[in-house]
Amino acid sequence: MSVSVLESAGVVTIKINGNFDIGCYDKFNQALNSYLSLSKKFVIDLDNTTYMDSSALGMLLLLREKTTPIDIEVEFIHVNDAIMDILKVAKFDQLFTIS
Amino acid sequence: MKKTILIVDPSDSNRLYLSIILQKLNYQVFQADNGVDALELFDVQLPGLVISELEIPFLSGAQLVKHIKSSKSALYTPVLIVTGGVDAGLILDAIDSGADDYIQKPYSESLFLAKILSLFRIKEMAYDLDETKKTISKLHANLRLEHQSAERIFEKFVHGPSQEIYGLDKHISPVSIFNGDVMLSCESPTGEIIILLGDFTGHGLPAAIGAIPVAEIFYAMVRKGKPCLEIISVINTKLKEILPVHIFFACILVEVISKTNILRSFNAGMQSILYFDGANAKISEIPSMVPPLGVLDNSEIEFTLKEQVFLVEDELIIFTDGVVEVMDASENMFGLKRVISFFETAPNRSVIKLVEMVQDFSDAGNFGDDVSIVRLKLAEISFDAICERDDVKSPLESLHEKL
Repeated sequence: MSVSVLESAGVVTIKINGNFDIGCYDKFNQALNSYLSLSKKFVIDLDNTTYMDSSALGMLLLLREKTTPIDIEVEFIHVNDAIMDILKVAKFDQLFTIS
Repeated sequence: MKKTILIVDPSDSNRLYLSIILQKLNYQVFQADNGVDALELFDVQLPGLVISELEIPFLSGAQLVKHIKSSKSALYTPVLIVTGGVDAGLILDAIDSGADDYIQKPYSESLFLAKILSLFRIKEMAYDLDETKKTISKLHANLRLEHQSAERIFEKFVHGPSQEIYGLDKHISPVSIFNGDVMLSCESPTGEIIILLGDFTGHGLPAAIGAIPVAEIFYAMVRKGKPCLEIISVINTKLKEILPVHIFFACILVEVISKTNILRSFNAGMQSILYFDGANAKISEIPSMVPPLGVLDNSEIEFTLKEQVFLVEDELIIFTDGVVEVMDASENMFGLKRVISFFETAPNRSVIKLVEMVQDFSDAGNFGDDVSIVRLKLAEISFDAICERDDVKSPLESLHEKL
């Protein structure tokens, strides 16, 4: 598991490699807090994400809690079928725009 | 740390030489010129370090080292072997018996002192490690005790008022003392049976603690005959208010009305409820309808129940996601499809058989997450007639009685 963060012109891309679980918490939270005031959009790149557990869903809720009041857009990219299933079971497609 | 050293050497001049250079550096020195005296001095003085010639009267170097290393009075005493001989076999014997280092004569004084310094440093580390170990095991013991007390209170609250139900085939396995999974069942005043199965984010204490308000609300409202949707809304409001943002409660609520053969179900963020059509041996899914509870305000979400008529041989299977997420050696998940195919094809669909199958599949041979599986034989569902309603007290009542 690894989390890489890339910022470019106000767009912060957080890329999760491997399992998206509690091990990503510190890095994810740090990225969220340090870029929150500087960015207009967060992109969650799940291209190399193999699995996602409920603590990962919890992290997405933190992201939602912080970005919604200040109108920062959140976008999910490269969502594979397995990850999509997890997001759909949790009905997170009702909380986020996921394409 | 005790800076005392025992020197064992038959040669008077060697002992004198070593004593002088060590005493200059403020070490306190004891001397023995044979093995027997060395053992006695060691047992009485318990020096911080032992320097011994390999060949000493009455004892072999290896025997002396064995005695020092097996002493119960000292945690760790480094032994430095000094030898003039070149017999590698003897040196190896001493090292095998537990000697920490050796130095060949003739040696330079500074190299010798460096070895002494380094052995004392290792000794200090060994003592630090031992202290840390003691502290940790003390803390651990305290924590266990606190957990046990908390667990008793938790059990009273969450499972105390639960009623035994006929027609239930279930497996509940907590990964830790406190279970992130919650299963509650209760009968309403008009005879409906209501079951709630849920799963808090994570497991252990932080996950389990949320079960207390859920259980309080559930038992109180079911007993007052409140409708399920209202129970769900009240639980959601409470959890939204108290849970940290990243913790939520996925749950399934099922209501069985035996008089009219009606089943009502609700699924918030859990794996699909499996409905087993007994006549055709076919499973259909009742998927998650809304996000888990504790995430959205009641105003942002609309709760609905699915209502259907059930037939005599129909069954309902509900479970937390620990079952489908079990991995095999090549990191394949057990998955929902295998669960469905089990219930469509296994002769008596017994939950314990599914558990065995999942355990066989699993790489670790057990579950990494909390796993709860409940199978309801809908027509057989009824509460234990012996269980008098008056005997069942709310968790608060039973706790007050206990205190």
